[in-house]
Amino acid sequence: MVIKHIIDFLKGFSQGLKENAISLIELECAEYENLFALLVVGGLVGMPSPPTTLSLRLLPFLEHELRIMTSMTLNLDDAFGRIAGYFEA
Amino acid sequence: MSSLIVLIAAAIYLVAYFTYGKRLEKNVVKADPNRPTPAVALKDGVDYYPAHPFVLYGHHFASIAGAGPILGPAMAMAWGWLPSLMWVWLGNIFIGSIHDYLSLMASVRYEGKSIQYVAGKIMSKRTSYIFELFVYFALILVVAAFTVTLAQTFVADPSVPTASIGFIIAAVISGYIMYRTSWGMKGGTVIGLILVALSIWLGYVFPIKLSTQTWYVLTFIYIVFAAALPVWILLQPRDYLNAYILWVGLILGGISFLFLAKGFNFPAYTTFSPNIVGGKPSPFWPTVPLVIACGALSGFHSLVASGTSSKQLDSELSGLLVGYGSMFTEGFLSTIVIISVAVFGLSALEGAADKLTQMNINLNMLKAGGTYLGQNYLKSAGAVGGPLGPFYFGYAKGLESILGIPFKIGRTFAGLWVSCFVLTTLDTTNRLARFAWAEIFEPLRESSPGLYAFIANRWVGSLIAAIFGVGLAWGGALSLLWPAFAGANQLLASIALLTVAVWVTNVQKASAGYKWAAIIPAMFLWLTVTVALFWYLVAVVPAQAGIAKYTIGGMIVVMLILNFWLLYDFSKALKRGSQLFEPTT
Repeated sequence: MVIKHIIDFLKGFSQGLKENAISLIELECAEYENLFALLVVGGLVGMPSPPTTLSLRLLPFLEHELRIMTSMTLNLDDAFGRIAGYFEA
Repeated sequence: MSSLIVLIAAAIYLVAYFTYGKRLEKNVVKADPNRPTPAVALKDGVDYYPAHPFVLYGHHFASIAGAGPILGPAMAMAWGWLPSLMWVWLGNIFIGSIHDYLSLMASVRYEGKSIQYVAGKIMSKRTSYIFELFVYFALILVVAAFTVTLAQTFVADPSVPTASIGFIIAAVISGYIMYRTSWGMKGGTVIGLILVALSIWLGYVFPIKLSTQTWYVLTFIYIVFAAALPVWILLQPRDYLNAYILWVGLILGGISFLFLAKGFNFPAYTTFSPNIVGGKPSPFWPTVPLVIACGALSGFHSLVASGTSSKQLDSELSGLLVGYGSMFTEGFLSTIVIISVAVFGLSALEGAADKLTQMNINLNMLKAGGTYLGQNYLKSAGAVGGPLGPFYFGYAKGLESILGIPFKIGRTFAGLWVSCFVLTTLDTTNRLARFAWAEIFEPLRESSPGLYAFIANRWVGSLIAAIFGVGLAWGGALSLLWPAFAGANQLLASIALLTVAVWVTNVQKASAGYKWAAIIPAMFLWLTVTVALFWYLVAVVPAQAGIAKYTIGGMIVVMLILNFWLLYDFSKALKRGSQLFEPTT
């Protein structure tokens, strides 16, 4: 039981190290997807956007991007904190 | 003796975790497994998602464990191993871990927002801005201190730069395989690790000898471009391979020093005021937090804890392992560093007897310990590559004694381990400094949009941080720059602690006894670091020349002014009561 717990811990720790390493690329990916969502449905926040018909045709494929955009919008008042969390020292 | 200290450290940390830590969890944080954390309540699969506590622990630890917990204790050995060990252990248990854990949990109660945001909410809007300025100054000093560390490491052991450059190339190739070929993550990992091993061997065969100044210039070029490159090309694969280096380094070091069973050849205590900070006699109190920063406590941890970890906590009961436990693990890493120098530090200096003679340092008097060792330890460490030299030597000797790994390979690996940490820190620091720079000038966005656009340009922000940081490195010694960075870092920690002290008192309504568990460390740290920085300003800065004198002096003066402002905000918030502070989750 204890051995299993130790093995689980070591596996989790190792996985955590890997996840820490890929967290920055996830952040960058999210930024790009957020930009794409803004380009397509920027009208939601007052940005000029492409023709409505084009936006509507792309909309079904934007579920994930819209989720990211919403998440970032909710945390706009703490943008520095969001970036600072990725600091390593 | 070495095995005994490892076991005592493990025992102290375990006992503290299951007694003091658990009581904090129950009586201060009042952790409730039924209260949904932001990761659960706001789950969006982007920023907010619940992670397994062991995974989050590893993730959090990898973010907070850099070169800091290695370098600080290595310098603090000038006081002897006992004071260094005491500050690491007591600082961990009563200040550092509390700081990390409460920052994490305060953030959890505020929808995973950063500690800077929480400070703005429960103290004043101004506090949040002061926080940002502190962070920016600290980041500039990180670039300066770590640039010197990197150059010293490269000059001291010419096999390390070859290994480090090989490591960077290995990371780029590994990243390309991961993201641009069908071999994927597994293929990239295997090829990457083979190339890392090859890099260490290449370092052994083809050392690169360049001057310290040349390494400064190359570091400057590297950090400006690394901060601007897409993450997938270099930063991410290198960070990924770093994780393996960290893991292997910790396991090999832990096993070696656990079974080494060797006595210490370094004295437990030298003198109360050895020559450390800026080469001046540095009294243990108040200057110890200017020397041992990350190993005992670190303000940057509050940024990591409240910036990302709080958004991924699956349950409030997991917070103790992630916040409190990770800091203990970092303290354990510092303990290994102190042990390795205590066992082999003087042996490392024996190997540089000729250089020491040229420096007018008497080896026999060094070995006798006492005041002479305290006054000359850091100076003599310069003969073996700076304060990290004895650590590299000791670590490699430990690996050789127990695991049979050749000394030269072990030393190159130790150097690579630290230089990888340093390079990662320099990358992320410059990116963050760029962002912080733009944030500080945010008020100009509406009044002077043209000026703001220029200031906030990513190349401008990146270059300014690099120019200031590397410029300071050029003009200042590590013994001057490291304490300045550590001071800024510890002031940041005191802001975070003052913030959580207000949270514990006014929002959590902790009982009188437990309220002091946050207030006493906060006040003690604030007082210690403030007095230390005044001492630094009076005793160390005036003796410096040129850019270092005015730049560092200016930064310290500004930080001290902000520091008193902050204490005023803290006392006002503490008196104001709780009616204004309603947690959002």
